[in-house]
Amino acid sequence: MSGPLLDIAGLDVDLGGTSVVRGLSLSVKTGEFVGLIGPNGAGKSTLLRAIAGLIPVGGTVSVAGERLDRLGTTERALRLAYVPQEHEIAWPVPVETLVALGRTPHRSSFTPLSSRDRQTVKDAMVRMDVARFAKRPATALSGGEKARVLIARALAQDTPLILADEPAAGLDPAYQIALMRVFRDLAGEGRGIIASMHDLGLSARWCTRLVLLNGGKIVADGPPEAVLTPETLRSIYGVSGFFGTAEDGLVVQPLDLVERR
Amino acid sequence: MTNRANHRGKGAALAAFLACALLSAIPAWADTKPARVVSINLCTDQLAMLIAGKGQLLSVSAIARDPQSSAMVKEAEGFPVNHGQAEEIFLQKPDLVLAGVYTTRATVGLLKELNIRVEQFAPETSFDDVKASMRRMGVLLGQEMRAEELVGQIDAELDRLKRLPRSGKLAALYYANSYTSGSGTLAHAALEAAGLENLAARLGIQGTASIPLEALVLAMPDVVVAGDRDYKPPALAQENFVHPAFRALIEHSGEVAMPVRNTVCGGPFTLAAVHMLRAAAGQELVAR
Amino acid sequence: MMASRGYWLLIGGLTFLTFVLFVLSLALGPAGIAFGESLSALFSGDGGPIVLIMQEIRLPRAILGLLTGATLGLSGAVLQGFLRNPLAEPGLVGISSSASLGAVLAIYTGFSAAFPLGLPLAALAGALIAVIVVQALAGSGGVLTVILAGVAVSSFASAMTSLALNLSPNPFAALEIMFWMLGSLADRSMTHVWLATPFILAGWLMLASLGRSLDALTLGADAAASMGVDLNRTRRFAILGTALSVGAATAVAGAIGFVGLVIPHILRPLTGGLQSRLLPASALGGASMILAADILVRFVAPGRDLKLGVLTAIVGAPFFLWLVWKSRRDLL
Repeated sequence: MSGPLLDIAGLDVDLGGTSVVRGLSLSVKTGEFVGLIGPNGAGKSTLLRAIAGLIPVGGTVSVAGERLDRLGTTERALRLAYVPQEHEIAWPVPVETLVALGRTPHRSSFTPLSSRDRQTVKDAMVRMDVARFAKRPATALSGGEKARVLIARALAQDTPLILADEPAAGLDPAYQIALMRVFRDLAGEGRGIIASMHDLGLSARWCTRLVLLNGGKIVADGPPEAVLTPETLRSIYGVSGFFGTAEDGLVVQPLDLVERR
Repeated sequence: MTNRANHRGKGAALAAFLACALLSAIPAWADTKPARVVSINLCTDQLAMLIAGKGQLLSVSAIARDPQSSAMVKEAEGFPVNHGQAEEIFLQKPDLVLAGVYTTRATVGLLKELNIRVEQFAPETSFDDVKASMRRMGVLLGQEMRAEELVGQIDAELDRLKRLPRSGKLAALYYANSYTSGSGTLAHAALEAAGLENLAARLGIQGTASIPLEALVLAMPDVVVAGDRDYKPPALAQENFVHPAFRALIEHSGEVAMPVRNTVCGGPFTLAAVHMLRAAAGQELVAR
Repeated sequence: MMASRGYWLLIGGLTFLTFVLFVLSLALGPAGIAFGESLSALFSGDGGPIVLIMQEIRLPRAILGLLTGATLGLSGAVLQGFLRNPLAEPGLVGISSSASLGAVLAIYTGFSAAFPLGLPLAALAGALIAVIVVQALAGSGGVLTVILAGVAVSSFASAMTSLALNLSPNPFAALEIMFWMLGSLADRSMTHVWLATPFILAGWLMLASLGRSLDALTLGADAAASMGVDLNRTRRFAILGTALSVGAATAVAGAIGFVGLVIPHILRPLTGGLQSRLLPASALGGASMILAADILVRFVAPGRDLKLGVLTAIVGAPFFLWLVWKSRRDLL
């Protein structure tokens, strides 16, 4: 593939009359696991929803060289998957059925699941370690289990680009790390991942690239060591931090509130 | 507190005033003919108009002028109408109010509390009932002679009809809303007097009740006696008359329209209904 | 997908049940015609009374029972899936009563007498307004918002229906409030079948096409859109499909409550929570419920013209209360 996987140019988003994202441009290549970080209200969720085509925007968003606003909804769904922040599951659907919903854009109406569909669903469940409760109603699961099931659903969509809004929230440390590994592996397989995150330590350690958002604009973009510095922590988050290196990775631990400068 | 006491005071004053007004309004009706009679029920309206002496009847109910319900519209034009409201009736200072048993209960109760004499009439379900009501009306209005005269006419006509040959044809009464009249109704009595058999009675229906269209079709009666159907504006109640099955039935049986007004209350007009039914069954009205 | 065999057994069973009830509805009636005789009369050409009864009275009644019941079951399932609200139902959210109001205005002004299609069209318009109001409010609020909006819509529509009927100079109009609020199939004719069927079928087509979209909507509007669901099309089809089918069914059978609530709830656990499977099952279940209720009204109180809505409410209202009790924590 020649161009970038995702190319955003001059993106503007207005929500209820306020400008939430202003003139934002961003390119993501295959193989990248981008952590979208920034304080509350920075526009992380809005940016993800804008990329997913869920809200009207100004500017252009292209995936693999094709402008999303010129694609039909199914075409779009074949190119990117999106995991919302809210874990909404309206009906008691068995887990495997729920994960199989990710195959929706791949199937025409009234056709049963193909063997390829089944295999993809199975792989996604195994990857997110939810195959054990494949038959259980998803509504009966714990919060963390639901989160994993919903991510498995997005994996089953089998798209080159995956967007996830706070996917690690509500997971215990083991599953957080497992999730990070899954995303890194997926990136390694030639996909692009963009995940908004609040856990700076996790994002510092696992993302291949961090995009720091503040006030609807990108204020820093690059490898974790370049983006997460005592300076950005203080000026953007208003906290001090502990920075170190362990097992060949960056360690960042916010420590205390400081005066923003 | 003061306010409430005040109200109570006013209430008492009003009651006293009403009582005085009443006392002055009530003549000694026990031994003389009532002079100010008000009727608030369609059936008593018609009986009173038939029997009352000149000037005796002050007003009749508004429905007495409704051609769909009343058989005596023309007569009713000659009387003022009331709407069965206690207040307007009280203001007419009646010495006798004629009412039905079932309708306007609240009004009747209130009038009685105001010490106005109210006489209630039950709906007539047979010619005997009709005659009894006429006699009672005669007594109440002090017009016994007039009442006897009417009863005599009815008896004479019923006797005459009884001597005519009975056709015994099966007739079905079918009104709006798929209602029919079974035994124990004036309409049934009219059918009998006309020498016809009432399908509803044969099916065991008592009083007025709805009859399934399929029971009607299955029986294939000789005559379908349909009630009024041209009520305006349209309502579902008349849809039974345009049902394809009903239309097919009357193509076979033939249909005669009998206005409901002739049998909803009893009177000489009920005999007119009997004549109509006899004619519909293809029978002469006079003996050969 | 894994429980496929069980699902087809369910659909087969419901189809059989609906068929049996349909035949019973044809075979049972006050006229007491023998079973074989009644069914053969359906296909007979002679104009005898039994043929007349079967072809012009019982057949339209059974067909309308089937159409109305399936409409209520299907639209109830669609509304629940589309609004992601377990209490949504054409009766409870006021769609049926608004359709009644439209039909009442068309009939009692004489409009439908002059222009027969005016009856289903007016009912459709009434239903359409109610669905639009309810779904607009559903977007911003929770489960309770829709139900409260439904209470307001249906009370208002019922009040306006009573007003229109009370103001009608026709002496029978006021009595017909009961028909419009509780529904009945007594002595309906083929005319009603022809009038309502095209609209009902068009509505069904729209609603039935929504299965996949409603499946995806289980995970919320954003997730569904990201899975390729065209939300605008889904909204249009859900609104129009409901208005068409419920509007036309109400125009000829009156407003019948609770079927759209009870049936999807009973069947949801048996269809794996998947809306696309629930829709055909609910349609069949609704048809069975109305056919059964319509058979019952003929025998519980013959000659009294018991309204269908009375029976469905006897079953449905306690069920509704149980649902509210069960989910009261989620509601508040």
